[in-house]
Amino acid sequence: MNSLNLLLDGFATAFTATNLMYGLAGTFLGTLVGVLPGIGPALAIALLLPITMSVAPASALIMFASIYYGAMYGGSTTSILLNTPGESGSVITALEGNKMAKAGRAGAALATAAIGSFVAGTIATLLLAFGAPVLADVAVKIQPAGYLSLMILAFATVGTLLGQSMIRGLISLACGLVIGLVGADLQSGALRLTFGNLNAVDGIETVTVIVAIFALGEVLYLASRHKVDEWAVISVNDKTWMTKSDFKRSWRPWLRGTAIGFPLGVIPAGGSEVPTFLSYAAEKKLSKHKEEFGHGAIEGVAGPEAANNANAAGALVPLLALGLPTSATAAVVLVAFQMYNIQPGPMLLSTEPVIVWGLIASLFIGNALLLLLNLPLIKFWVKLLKIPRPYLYGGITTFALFGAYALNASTFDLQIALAVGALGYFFRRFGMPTTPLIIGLIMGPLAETKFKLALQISNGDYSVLYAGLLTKSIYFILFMVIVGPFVWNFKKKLAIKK
Amino acid sequence: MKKITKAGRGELVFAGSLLLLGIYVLYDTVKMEVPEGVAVISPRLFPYFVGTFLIVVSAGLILTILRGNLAVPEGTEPGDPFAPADFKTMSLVVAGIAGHVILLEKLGFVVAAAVSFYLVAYAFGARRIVKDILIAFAFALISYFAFTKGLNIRLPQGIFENLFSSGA
Repeated sequence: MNSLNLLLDGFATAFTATNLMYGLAGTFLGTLVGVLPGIGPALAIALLLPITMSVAPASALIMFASIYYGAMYGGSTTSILLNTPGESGSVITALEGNKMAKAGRAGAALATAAIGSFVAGTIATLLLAFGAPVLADVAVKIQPAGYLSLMILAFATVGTLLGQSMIRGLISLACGLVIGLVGADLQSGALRLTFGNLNAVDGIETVTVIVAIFALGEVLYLASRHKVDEWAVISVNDKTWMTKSDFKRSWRPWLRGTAIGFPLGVIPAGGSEVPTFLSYAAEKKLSKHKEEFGHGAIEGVAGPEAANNANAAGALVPLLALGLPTSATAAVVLVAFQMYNIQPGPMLLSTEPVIVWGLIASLFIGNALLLLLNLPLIKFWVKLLKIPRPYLYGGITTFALFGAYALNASTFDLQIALAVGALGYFFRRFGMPTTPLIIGLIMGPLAETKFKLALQISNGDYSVLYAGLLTKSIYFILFMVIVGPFVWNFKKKLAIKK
Repeated sequence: MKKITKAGRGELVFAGSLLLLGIYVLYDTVKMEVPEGVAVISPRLFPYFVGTFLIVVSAGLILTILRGNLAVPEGTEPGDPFAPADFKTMSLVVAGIAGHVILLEKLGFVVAAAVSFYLVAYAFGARRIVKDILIAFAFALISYFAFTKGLNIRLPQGIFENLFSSGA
């Protein structure tokens, strides 16, 4: 029961007055930013990264854990009341939740989302606490070549599973890899793609890219769509949140959503799009009220919301145990670690137990705080949605520019932000997903390090890259992931011809 | 091959520029100066992979577009996603961002933040000039004090910042 003891130590870390305060502030700020339409959890964390610059690592990471869950919860509130999902994971929530809200059942939709998130988050964090150390124990034995193959698999799944077409996801990934190349090569000091600019020698600041591609890209895209109308925010005036029958209809979807969301977060399945959709499909199939689906079925909110939250916690397993982010949000959390010179990976649990277990404990606390804070505060969150849109975008733009500038106090970063913002606009206009770019940008340099390390160990013998059993089986899975869909389509076409 | 629409042409230009970027990555890698005897594994290897990968996928995208498989814009807003872009509104937003970038270290954070806030708000239809400018400055001042006093983050100072800090 070693994990249990460590977890209890983690609670001791998290339960100091200072850290609890950071957890509370994180939950509040995360929800605050996450509620704002068009801001998903990844952007919320990236925007809030600079504010912890002067905070001790353990407290800062506890704050991020709370921001993470807070932003997710805020996003689902917006989806239900406004039908503008800030990220792909809440698209499904918007589908049924907004219909429920329109039918005057906003309270029930918000409550089943909140309690479902709490249930899923708690179970998934437990699985994380006991699963991550097991995975880390195995992962310690993985050689650089094995890591490289895992990274390539993550690249491939994130690149091909997201967005409208495989090719557009891969373009996004390639752009991220190119941005990741800029700067001095760590080993030799050789300068790459710096265009003779001294500011570029240290590379492009990741936070700047994330903030610019999400926030500035989105504002530019909205600007290109002519004028924007004020939103019709659905007001919440229910006296009761959930009735007995709502509970009866919700608890199974919560558990099923957790069961679907968590494992799909652990393996690189490209974020929360797939699990939420699978959960929705499962609930629709199993429901006794099939006719309500599409008109506001509570199961269609409860299941996907639980799946979304469990998925987010699941993504922390490979992040903490392997150092591999499998979603944009996990990638931003990785950047937060790197800001404190902490590199997640199999050794992290043994080298930084206080921080990791403090983080896991604060995930539990943040989750509970959310449940306590958010339903009572719902009137306040709804007020935020009534900020006039011109001021909202003025504020988001200015705050994003602050985030891009503050880390290095450099105007060069602001120029990069403008350029990347423009790229973000084109990505939206031409249907390219942004998550693969973030993953490529953050994991590209890590992959290169593993690549060089593998070749160094083998003295330049390339066969090391595909030698072991692990690498062979991972490249086999990769082959199936890429070729599988083609075979599937070809068979379907044949069947249609017959 | 289907007839290429105006939107398709834009997408082709974008894909073409990415292809050129890929070629540039390879060119930059070839002419890269590598300090001798430091690295066991050449710093050229990985950029070669990345450059080639970008070239292959952008060529693939060009083919996809030519075959008539155009992108659907990734917008969450209601309305016609294929309507031509509103360049006037967009340039106002760009002006707001660029203004912030240029003014930040010359006139300080408060002025720069007020400029980006106001211009972007104006772009999105805010037309009550006095009220909007007051809100922009209030937003800028409050953020300035929250960031510098509350979070100990150093921000460029200008007229406004000095006015307040000399009194303190």
